[in-house]
Amino acid sequence: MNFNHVWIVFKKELLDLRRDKKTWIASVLIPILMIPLMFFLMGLGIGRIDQVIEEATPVAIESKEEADVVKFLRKHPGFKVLEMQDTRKALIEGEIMAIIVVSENFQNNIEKQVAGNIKVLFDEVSSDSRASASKVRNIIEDYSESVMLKRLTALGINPDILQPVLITREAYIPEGANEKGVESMFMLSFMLPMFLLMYTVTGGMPVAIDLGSGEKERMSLEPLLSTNANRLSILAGKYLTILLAAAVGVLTSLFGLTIAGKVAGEVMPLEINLSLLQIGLIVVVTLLVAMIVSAVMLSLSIFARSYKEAGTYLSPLVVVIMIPNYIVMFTDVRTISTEWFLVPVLNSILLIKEILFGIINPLNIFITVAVSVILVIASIFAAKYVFNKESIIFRS
Amino acid sequence: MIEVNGITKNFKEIKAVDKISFKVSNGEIVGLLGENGAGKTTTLRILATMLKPTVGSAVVNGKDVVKSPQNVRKEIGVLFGGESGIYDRLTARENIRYFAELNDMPKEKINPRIDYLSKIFNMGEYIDRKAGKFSKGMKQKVALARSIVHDPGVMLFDEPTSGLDVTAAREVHGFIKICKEEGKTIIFSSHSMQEVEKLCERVVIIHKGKIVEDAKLTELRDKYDKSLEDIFVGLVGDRNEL
Ligand SMILES: Nc1ncnc2c1ncn2[C@@H]1O[C@H](COP(=O)(O)OP(=O)(O)OP(=O)(O)O)[C@@H](O)[C@H]1O
Ligand SMILES: [Mg+2]
Repeated sequence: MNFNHVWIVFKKELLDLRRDKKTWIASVLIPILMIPLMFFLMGLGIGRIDQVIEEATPVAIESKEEADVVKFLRKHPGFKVLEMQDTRKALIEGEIMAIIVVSENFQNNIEKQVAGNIKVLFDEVSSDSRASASKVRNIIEDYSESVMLKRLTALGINPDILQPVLITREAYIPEGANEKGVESMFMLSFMLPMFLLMYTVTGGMPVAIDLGSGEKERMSLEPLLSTNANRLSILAGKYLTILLAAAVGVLTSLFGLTIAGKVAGEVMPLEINLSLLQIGLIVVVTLLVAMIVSAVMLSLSIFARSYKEAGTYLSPLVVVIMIPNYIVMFTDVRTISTEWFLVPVLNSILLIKEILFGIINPLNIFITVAVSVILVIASIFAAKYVFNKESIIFRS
Repeated sequence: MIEVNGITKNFKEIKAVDKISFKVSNGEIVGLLGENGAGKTTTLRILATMLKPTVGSAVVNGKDVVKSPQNVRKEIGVLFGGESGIYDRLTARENIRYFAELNDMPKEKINPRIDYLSKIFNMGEYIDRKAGKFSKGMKQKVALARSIVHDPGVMLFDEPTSGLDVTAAREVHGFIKICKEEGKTIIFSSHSMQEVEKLCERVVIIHKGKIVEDAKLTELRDKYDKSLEDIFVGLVGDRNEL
């Protein structure tokens, strides 16, 4: 290998890519915007549900009598009780969110200490209506409880008799950590490995396609190979370019995540306090995956006959890289056994999760790095093999 | 000096080139003439070390294409026909410079050399423009300039005028003549006897992977007493018999 030639190829590819809009979009723009956008949209969704719960919900009451419960509901600030002829139509049209049907003799039954029936009708297709129905239910249960309390007091019984045990559940927050931070970390442990690994693929993909099959497509591969530069140097220059694009994708997505913390605001606060060691380790682990992925993509791209074919071979990698993410999505990193770290790519995901939770396990780190390095070397050799094969270079 | 010694190249069951041998002496320009699929590109690819011969070997300026391909590549400039294969997002100059650098030209000599090529090739107007919008002829000139920027002693041109219009083809011919005057050893392939007549003294005619004629044009005229075109058709035009 001639490092001067590697550098010349690398420099030229960068110049070429800098002038290519596709690369900028795939490696910079999308990673920066994707996570904030997702958070923003999720925030909108959650905000919407909160809004439904908080605002006075328009409902209709069907009742033959002005029972106490009806009065209670009318007074309740959570509702806006509307009077109308055709309540069912109003429900379907979304004018009201629920219909509260109070059964006949309700007041009478309550007084006789017989259970009174209330039916809450909601529109199954409307998520707002569904949310409202549970709200109605909660409020009516409040009413029910107040009646119960009255009855017990009338009998001279301490209401606590109905609740012999009081359970409180509380997440243990280690000293120095705040609750929000732990929650965010949990969320992040799902999303971050997924995004980081995805960007190792999408960040480098258009570049890999261009640098491999692109040379074949525009017939520049043969002139290039007949220069003084040997194939390994050319390959290395191209490989480094793809790796750089993937790394830029990964880093910009991390940057995007930081913006997300700000953009998402109150809806999804991300209070992330990662030490430099943690960030550094995460970047290193991700780059190892990027190194494997880049070599695989370059091999496939050189193998392909045309841009189109390369696109067909490479795009499934986005899905392939998601698979290990799904496999370990709900894996508990506190109790996971070490053998898992022998599985390439999957180990990187687990390690990123561990690191996020502040678990720095040297053995796991060592195994992951070792396995990845072996795979990086193997995949680079695969790329070299493909690049040296006459029948692949001149495949037609 | 190029020596091809009994080269055979098989692609699976296809015999693309079958036991061919010929020589090109220093400063000579030889046309490799043949129909589609005759084996011209394969022959040139073997000389350019892009393909390994199944049997046989070739020597370029004393270097063996099989044993020391890297050294052979130092001696040659290559142009493969059809598409010129230049990078659209780079300027003509950047395209040429890339190859100059990869061929280990000293930095300070690159720009003067490009300026020189740009002048003799009439590329001054667009040498610093991006190649994406160039016409086919413009691109082919850039590709030619790129293939000889490092001033190689041996040049291999595979159908350098294919797909060009008359004017552009003429410019390319002019360029090959300049190379010849500079004393380069040149093989160029073509499927047109007319083109070969314009540029060479000698022709190697290849047909179905075999060499069917290797002679000076003057010798050919004497030997057959026909027009060269008729000679070529006579040698390879056995399609009707098939
Ligand atoms: N990479 C390859 N794989 C399989 N067969 C090939 C390959 N390259 C060439 N051939 C076959 O070898 C034979 C010679 O091809 P070659 O390209 O050398 O001919 P040519 O004289 O350059 O033709 P043309 O004028 O069409 O360029 C043809 O039958 C072709 O199909
Ligand atoms: Mg050909």
